Amino acid sequence: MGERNNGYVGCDLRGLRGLGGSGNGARRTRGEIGGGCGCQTPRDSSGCACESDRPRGLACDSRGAHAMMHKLQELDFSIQETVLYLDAYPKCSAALKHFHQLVCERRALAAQYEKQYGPLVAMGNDKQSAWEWTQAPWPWHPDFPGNKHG
Amino acid sequence: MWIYEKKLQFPVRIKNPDPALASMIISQVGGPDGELSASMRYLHQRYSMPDGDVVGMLTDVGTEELAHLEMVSAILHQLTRNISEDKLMNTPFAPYFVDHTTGIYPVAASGVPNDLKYVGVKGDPIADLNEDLAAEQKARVTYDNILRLTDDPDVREPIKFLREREIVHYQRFAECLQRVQDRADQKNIYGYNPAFDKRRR
Repeated sequence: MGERNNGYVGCDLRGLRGLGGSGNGARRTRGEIGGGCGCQTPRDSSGCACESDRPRGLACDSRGAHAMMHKLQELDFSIQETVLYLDAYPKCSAALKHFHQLVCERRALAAQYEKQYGPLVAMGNDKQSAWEWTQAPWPWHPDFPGNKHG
Repeated sequence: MWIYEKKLQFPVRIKNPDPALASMIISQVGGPDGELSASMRYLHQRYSMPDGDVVGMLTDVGTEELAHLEMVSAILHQLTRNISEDKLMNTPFAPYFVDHTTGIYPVAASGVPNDLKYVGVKGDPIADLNEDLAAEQKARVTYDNILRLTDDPDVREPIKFLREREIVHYQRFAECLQRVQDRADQKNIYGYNPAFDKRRR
């Protein structure tokens, strides 16, 4: 790793590849640098489509709240790992690119989740007509999205 | 889960170091009515709180208390920044310095380290919310006492802000308690514990 090369020159993303598990949505090769999330220049249907109204590659609508929450948990865990990696290797441009791809995908998915299933954070209470923040189940409830296995 | 935001809730900019004052203010980090215990108290009470709106209040106040913990720590950091040994030698800060240098260690002004005994979780909404009301008032008194000890406006302004927040939290928790009691059996609000007993409301 990096420390062998006196700093950040030798850093790689071995520790990041494969994160995100094999669950729904992992078909996108998030572990591979250069895959491109499509924020700026959508390449194909696997882009996260930040600029469009509906995510194309994620197809979360049909999978429901549980699947979308699982995907969000996968993404957030990948981001957490990448953040820790960048904290240690701040000059690693590959990790930084990976980070931006993940964050782009996360923003789109979080916005979609909040629109469909309610706020993830209090400030995410987008509905003008109702305070939904305290109404939806709390995360330790068995029925909370994502707590169902499979 | 939580996400950290890199800012203080209220600005802290202290020009003059005052290690003696720091050894008093540290009680709001690690003392019995400090911000650390406050946050842990509310966040731990959430799991047995049957009402979503009260869980929301405990979540949001408990999270704000973490921001207050950071504010008090910033005050302490700035009060003890760049001080020389001779400036702290004959102050009440000296014993703390021996153990922790100028690090922020959760301890009371009396020197007693933080203890989870300060966190009350009874698993009963009425009992827990009464605990919270008392805790907010005790924290308010601690800030009142700190304000008696300094006339430095750089310290007083953030402390006054924190004191105000204790009063606001007290008000909000009082409303939670009122709602919990309104939802209880009006013939006997202590007749059952909605966090445990299966009886329908």
